[in-house]
Amino acid sequence: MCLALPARILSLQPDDMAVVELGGVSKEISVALVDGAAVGDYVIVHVGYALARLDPEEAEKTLALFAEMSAAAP
Amino acid sequence: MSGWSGEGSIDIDLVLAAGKIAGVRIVNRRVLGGAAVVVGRRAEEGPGLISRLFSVCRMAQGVASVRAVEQAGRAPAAAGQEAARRMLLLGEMVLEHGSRAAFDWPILLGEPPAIGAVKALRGALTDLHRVIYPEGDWLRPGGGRLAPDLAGLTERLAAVAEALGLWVFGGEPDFDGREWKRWAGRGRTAAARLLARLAAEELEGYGASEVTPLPELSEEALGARMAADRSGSFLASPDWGGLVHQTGPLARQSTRPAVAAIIAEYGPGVLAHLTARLVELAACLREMRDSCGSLCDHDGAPAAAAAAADGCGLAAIEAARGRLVHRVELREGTVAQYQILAPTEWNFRSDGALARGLAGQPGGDDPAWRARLLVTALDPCVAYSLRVA
Repeated sequence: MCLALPARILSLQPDDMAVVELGGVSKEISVALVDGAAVGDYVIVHVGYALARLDPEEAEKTLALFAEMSAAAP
Repeated sequence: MSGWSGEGSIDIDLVLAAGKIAGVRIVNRRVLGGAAVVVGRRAEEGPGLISRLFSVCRMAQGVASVRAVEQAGRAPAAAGQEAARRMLLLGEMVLEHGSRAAFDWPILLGEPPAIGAVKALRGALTDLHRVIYPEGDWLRPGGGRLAPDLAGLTERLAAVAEALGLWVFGGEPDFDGREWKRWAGRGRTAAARLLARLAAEELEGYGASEVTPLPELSEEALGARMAADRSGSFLASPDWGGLVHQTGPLARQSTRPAVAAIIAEYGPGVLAHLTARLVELAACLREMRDSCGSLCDHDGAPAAAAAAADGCGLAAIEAARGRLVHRVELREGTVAQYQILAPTEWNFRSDGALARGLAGQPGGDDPAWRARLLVTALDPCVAYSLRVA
């Protein structure tokens, strides 16, 4: 099933939108489901929506796992 | 999207001719094989890492993983642990089905999604393990320390029932599908209005195909097939005995009287899919409420840590989107191979339930909308793109 890569919020936009950094790529997503989303927060993104906020330590652990996966990819 | 920058996507291209969908091309760009990151790690680390990587459906992924590791180590968990895991799986199914009905279905109608419903469901269900395993050790092979907070659990289930009553069922969450026409006609929620629209446009059977439900599979045969899948082609595009199957709520609920009656009258199309999901949603919540009080009735002591084991383990569970299979090979307690077979690969095969359900169907005034209807009914676990030519 779907991988859930943590994304860091770079800027907040009108209408509950935000620009996030996701795996080195900037992307616009909705943060309507996450109350009080702020710049610098890590969120889990699924199909264009932030589903939940992650604490930074958790996010770093998950990102390290993805980096390891990326390095091992053919 | 490429590389590891995200979850991947499914590209769907339709070709129209003489008002019908003459061609369907599906390219599944989902990122597969991510589970290989656990290779080389200790078996007991596996379930936590898998659940972290696949956190959108982490309960299903975590439970499948911990069961596969336990089977490989020939150290099954006690009945009380399995009862607690069942509760977590049900909670995730309620969260996912409820979110589809309250969030995705209004979008199909051009209505705003019920953000409040999803927030309420997520607030009550995403960390449900915390009210059952206070130490957070639910992914420990052999089981964690069970200490259900029954008052907390009851409170959460009440919040879920309230949200589903308000935003999905438009009343008590006891939907069994028998009176679907009357329920849809009242139109109290987007889910009801979507079913009413299907009836008004005579689209009840839209997307029906001959793709049969995925049957029970022998674990031994499935394990052998996965073990032999060196290229990954089976995991990417599965079949069983050369046949394509579908998996998910309709496959699971097709013998429930109301769902069976809809299939008999209209075929296994979008109405059957959506009704099956609603019926299953209500049934899962009911089971959670009924079994809440008996969570402490079984032996739930965690098993001792297994010795560094050699062996293979396989766990097949029913997740919200369908059958999810994890297979692990352990050598001296270390993961030597890890594979996941996910439901999206069955339903969104190039010749699977979506492709066959759309092929030959009339496009109507808005063929893209009709295609989105069936995609939403089958519920892929990633974003998709749709082009009509």
